[in-house]
Amino acid sequence: MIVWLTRHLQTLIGSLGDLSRNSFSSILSISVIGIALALPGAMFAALENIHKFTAEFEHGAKISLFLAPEVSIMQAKDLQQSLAQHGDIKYVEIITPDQAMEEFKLRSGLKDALNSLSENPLPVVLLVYPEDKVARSPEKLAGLINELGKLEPVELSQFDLEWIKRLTALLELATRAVWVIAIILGLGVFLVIGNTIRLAIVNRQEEIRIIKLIGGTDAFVRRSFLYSGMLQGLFGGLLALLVIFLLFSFISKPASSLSSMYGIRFALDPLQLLPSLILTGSGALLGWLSARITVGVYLRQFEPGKQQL
Amino acid sequence: MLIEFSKVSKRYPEGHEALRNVSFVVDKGEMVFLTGHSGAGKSTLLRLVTLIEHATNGQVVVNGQNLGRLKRRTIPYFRRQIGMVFQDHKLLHNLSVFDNVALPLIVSGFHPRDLRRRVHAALDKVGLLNRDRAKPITLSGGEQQRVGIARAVVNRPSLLVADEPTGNLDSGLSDEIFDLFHDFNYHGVTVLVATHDLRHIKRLGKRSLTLADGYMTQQTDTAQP
Repeated sequence: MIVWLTRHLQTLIGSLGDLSRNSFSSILSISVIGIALALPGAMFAALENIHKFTAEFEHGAKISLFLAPEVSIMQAKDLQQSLAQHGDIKYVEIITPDQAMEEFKLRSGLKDALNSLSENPLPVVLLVYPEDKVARSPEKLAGLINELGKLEPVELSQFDLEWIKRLTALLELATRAVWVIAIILGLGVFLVIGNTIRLAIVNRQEEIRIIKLIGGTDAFVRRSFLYSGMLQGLFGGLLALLVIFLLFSFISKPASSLSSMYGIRFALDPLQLLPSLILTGSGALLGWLSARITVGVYLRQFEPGKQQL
Repeated sequence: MLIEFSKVSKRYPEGHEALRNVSFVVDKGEMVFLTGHSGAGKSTLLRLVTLIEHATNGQVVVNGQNLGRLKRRTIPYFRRQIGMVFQDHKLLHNLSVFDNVALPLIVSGFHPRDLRRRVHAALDKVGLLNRDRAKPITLSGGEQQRVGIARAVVNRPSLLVADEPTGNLDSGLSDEIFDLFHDFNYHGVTVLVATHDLRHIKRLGKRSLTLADGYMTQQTDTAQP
């Protein structure tokens, strides 16, 4: 066990040494890997943020029920209480015509004109806040709105649903597109690492032949290439994290000032811990896998007997 | 016996017949020279012993193992029983002398604790203990070959195989190299050396096998010095 561990440690350190010795070409390939991983990583992070952003909206999702003019405040309060029992509804707020008028005066700036009205023309409004699980599903929300609209005293039930529907569909599409891009770029990373490993094998063919002559197994020869592929992928993944972090800190200020215009306090999140680990981990895994396949293909070409000794 | 060839032939894919119907035996603890003109098949014979090539016909047995039946993945373990010395040394020039000699031990998963001692013992034997940190390229040809020999014996193999180990060295240095082989043989290692330098056979008084055009033409008994 100790021998096994030391051997792996030696190989790991050896591969690190190889990387630093061929620093220019390793920096080059690590940069390519880093950029290729940063692109889908940043896109996923952006999607994640948009989801969070829309969730802020959905949290405040409310259905406005404009009641018929002849409905009294007492009747409206009864309705409020019976709606509060509804399973899909979190709570119901009531806005009396007087409250609505006060707010309207404040917001519209038409105070004097409104004061001249002899009678308040505004109806009673019930604000219905649906349960979160309903707010998140466009179908359930539509059903609820429809149901409330059919109630006797309700004249109009209003909810700006269409844009959330569209946004959800758009996000779905974007997520799939990002997956396609991620797969294509992952394949690119795979090929880049495969190619550097292939070059390393060709450069070290004499060494490989000698190691085989003195009794080195295929596994022994393979090991250093596997480590170097894995390390390249790992460093590429770390570089990608750095790129994403810089990118997000670059756009975080305009993003939060944009969201404040919508009245939402929103801070742009770069990748969380788990996605970061997944990103670097998949970089390392891609590197290892690519090296494994490349070495498998090329190693048999360097049997000692295949060329004159 | 340690090496046994029975009616062995080797034809290369391009059609060249390198060995024809060769039979001989090398006993445990023997030191045997393999001679003949260049192209007579000396290297091919050694390549069959070390499983770099497979025989086309006939049977090769080394250390009790029938080489025709050895599986590909067991070849590395077979090679660890043999120390190999090459005319062009085959050292790794990016590694130090120490690391070159340590390589067979590292490859076979030798315990790191005893590694240094083993490597120093091998280097001491060939008189290069003080050069262990040097790069092979800074050494003379004779010294490089001695590093190659240290690497071949660091595993304490039962068989030492050398292909023209003094091909590039002058006679004084060759004497040193052959004396080293002689010394290993004295300590129980079976040695098979291919050389066209007949002087050493006489000087050391050992048996010799002669190849000509792929045939084994002569097997002498122990020569009288």
